Amino acid sequence: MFTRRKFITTSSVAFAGGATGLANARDARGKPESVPRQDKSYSRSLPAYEGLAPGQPGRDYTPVITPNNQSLPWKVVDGVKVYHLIAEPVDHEFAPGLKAKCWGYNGRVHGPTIEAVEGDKVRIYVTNKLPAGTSVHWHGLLLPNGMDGVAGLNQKIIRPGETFKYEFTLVQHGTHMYHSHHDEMTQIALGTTGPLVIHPRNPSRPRPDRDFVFMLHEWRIDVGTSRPNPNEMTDFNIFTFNARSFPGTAPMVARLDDRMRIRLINLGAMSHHPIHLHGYQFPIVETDGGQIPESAQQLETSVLTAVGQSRAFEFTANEPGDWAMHCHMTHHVMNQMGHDFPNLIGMQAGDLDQQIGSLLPGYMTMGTDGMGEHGMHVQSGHMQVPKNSIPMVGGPGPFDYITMGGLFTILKVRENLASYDDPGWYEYPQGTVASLASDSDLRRDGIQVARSQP
Amino acid sequence: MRIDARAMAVLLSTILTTGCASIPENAGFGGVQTTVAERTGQRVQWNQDTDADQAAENAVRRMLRQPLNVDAAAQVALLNNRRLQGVYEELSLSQAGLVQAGLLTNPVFSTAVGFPLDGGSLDLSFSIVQEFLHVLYRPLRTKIAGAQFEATRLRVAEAVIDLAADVRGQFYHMQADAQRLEFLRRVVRTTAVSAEAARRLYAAGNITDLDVAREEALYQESRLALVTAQTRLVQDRERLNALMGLWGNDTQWTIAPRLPEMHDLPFESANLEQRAIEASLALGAARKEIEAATASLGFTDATALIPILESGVDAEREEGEWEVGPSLAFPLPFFNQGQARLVAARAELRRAQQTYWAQAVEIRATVRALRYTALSACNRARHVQEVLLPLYTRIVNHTQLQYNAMQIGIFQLLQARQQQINAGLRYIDTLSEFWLARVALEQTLSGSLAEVDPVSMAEIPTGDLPAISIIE
Ligand SMILES: [Cu+2]
Repeated sequence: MFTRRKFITTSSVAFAGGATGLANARDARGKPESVPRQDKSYSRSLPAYEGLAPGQPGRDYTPVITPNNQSLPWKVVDGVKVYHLIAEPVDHEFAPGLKAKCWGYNGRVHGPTIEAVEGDKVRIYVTNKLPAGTSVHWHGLLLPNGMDGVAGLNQKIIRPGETFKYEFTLVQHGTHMYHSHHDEMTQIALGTTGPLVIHPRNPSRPRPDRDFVFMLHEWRIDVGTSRPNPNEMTDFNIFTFNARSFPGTAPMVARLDDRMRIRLINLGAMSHHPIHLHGYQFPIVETDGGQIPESAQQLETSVLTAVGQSRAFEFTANEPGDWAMHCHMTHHVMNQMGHDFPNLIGMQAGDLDQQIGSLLPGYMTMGTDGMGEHGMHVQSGHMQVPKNSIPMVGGPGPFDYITMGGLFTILKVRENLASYDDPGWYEYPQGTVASLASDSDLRRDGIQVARSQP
Repeated sequence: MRIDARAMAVLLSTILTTGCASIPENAGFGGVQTTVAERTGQRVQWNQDTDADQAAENAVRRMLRQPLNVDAAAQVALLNNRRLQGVYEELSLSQAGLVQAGLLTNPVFSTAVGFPLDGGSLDLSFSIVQEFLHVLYRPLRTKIAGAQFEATRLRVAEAVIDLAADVRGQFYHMQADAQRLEFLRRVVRTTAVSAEAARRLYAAGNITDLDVAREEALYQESRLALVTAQTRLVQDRERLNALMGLWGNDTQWTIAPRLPEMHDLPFESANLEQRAIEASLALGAARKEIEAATASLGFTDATALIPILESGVDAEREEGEWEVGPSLAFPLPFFNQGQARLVAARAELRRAQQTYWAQAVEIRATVRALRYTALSACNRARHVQEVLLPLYTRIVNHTQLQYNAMQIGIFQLLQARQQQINAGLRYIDTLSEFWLARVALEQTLSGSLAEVDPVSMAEIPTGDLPAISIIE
């Protein structure tokens, strides 16, 4: 059987002339003996993959789960996997209460996940229904230069209404992405990107039971507007897992002891994201450059994913509960945070509200003790916000309001699961939840708390 | 010819009594009253120490006890302004001139005594000389003075209407300033809470001394603006007091502290110029003055060559005998043939005619300009009221929503509120411009606009300022 090690050696030989990237690939020891010129054909396979049937879900791989999205359907024509991406404007919901006119693929933002198996021959049609020209770049893939998708450099721009054909063989596995490579600033800011997952033909590790893929992104959608602003360079206000902001993110659901893989891809404009998973330690097993040798892995609790990178980490879901997973940059767990107002923390509003209320009925001083209550004010309905906008933080939780937004989602691990549908909030075993200390507790442990005057 | 003393007395008395006339009462003030009443619906009274004086004063007192409206204020001024009472005396003066014109110059009686050197009886001679042409031109002179009197009557009526217009304008000024005060108080409240918020933020350690100072400065500026506006209101009030002739306890009147809404509208341009020309008291007076000048030129013409012609009767007693005979004396036009006077009189006439013409053109332009101003002010006031104010209200509401979404802060929210208040101030500006233009138009038409067709509401474009074209 063909192994990964063998493939790399082989592909080194095959690619060394054209792809320096490969020459740097891990484990490409030794000089290739011969340097064949690249096949003139835009599509070609490697001898090692000849005769392999197109990879099938279940048989060859466990399909990935793209929370809040799905995989792109395909069919096999004469041994080639055929996909059809349609770049088009999409009305997309980021979270309940916030929709925007974006650009995506096949009616989705981001585009659906393209899934395939190492060695598959793929033919991907790209139809442009956008009002502007576009192209698709297969980010991180090893392929003939003419398939790389940089408009102008490697191909003509796909004009509106045109359908282009990309055809190549997948000579690697890993977590990758596809995205527009024409007027990137605009098109990626509007959402034209999607995950591209290539499963290994012969995995070196056990297949995961639950394989999640997340695309990280950032957007500027001003409160009360309904289109991402691609001109924004630094002050983004919507941060998303698969183009959804908490509380719009669907949870990851796992059975106790499921083997988990979480793939993160960052294709935001400007920000890196240290994604932190609670409750577990894990090694990062893959980058977009391929697998990390076990000897080089280390345990982490946060995964820093830079723009244009992917990371995959694995663990066993052996601790039940509702575990938060979120970016650890605090402004990345806010929704539509404004920055154009004075710092109000600690201000004594006193009778100011009454004074201002006579000029502006409905006025309320907010933020004197933080932003935590903003979402509650908005969601309780007593404070109106502009249409098509969501509060800076939060959604209701089982105990209290969850004061997080943006890049925040939940891993739900349960012992008994009939299905992987959202099981609701975790039911905590008696006595395992932090709670108000009783007076007898305090007395017993000699904890003195000065009573504050009300 | 010899006559006896009786004959002399008859002759004298005949000459002396010719042209005697008495000064009529009220000197044509009734005409002024009628004109003013017709044009403005208001009453004037010439205080001449009669019972009517007291009635007028009572009427003034009565009006001052109620909150004054614009008509009442004008009426108080018309009855109580002493300067106007002074103007009425012009009537007396003009009337006196008219009477004077009807009087003959007194005949000149001269007597001479001759002492004969040879010791004979004294020679006595008497002569009564009457300026003959004066008698001859009496009708002409009366005509000139009559025209001048008419002119005076019209100018007095004009003065009345001007005073009424001054009062009305000042009244609207004061209402506008009073209304502005209401808005400026709101501005002060807004900047006060803004400054208070700044102070509290500063106390929390969140903003700088600079920020607080800026907010404080805005607050103090707005207070200054309020006090300035209050001062203007006092000035407005005192100008009205002066116009209404009020002092002491009479200055305690009140008015509604806001301008009336536009209940009537600017006016059809058709015939407005024509009406203004016809109605103008100033033009009427100028016409009378031209009549006077024309008549005066006729007079000058006739007397150009022989401006002074004396005729009289010479009675002479010579050698004890009375001789009576006509005498005639006139200057010989060797040097002054009256050319200069004629030229001057013709120049006077032409000047009066040119001035009249220019004045008419000016009135036409004024009427057009005022009509346009009123129409435009009306349009702008409605634009502010129906478009801008709702817009600024929308801005406040949406600023509030943005504030609620924590996108902006308290200061921006209060600024939006202040913008809305400023739009309110602009409404007052345009509304007062409308009322002032209306008053000026009334004044130019020398009376009420009641009979002028208003433009129908539908014809005034709203929300679309450029719709008023400058070229019609
Ligand atoms: Cu982040």
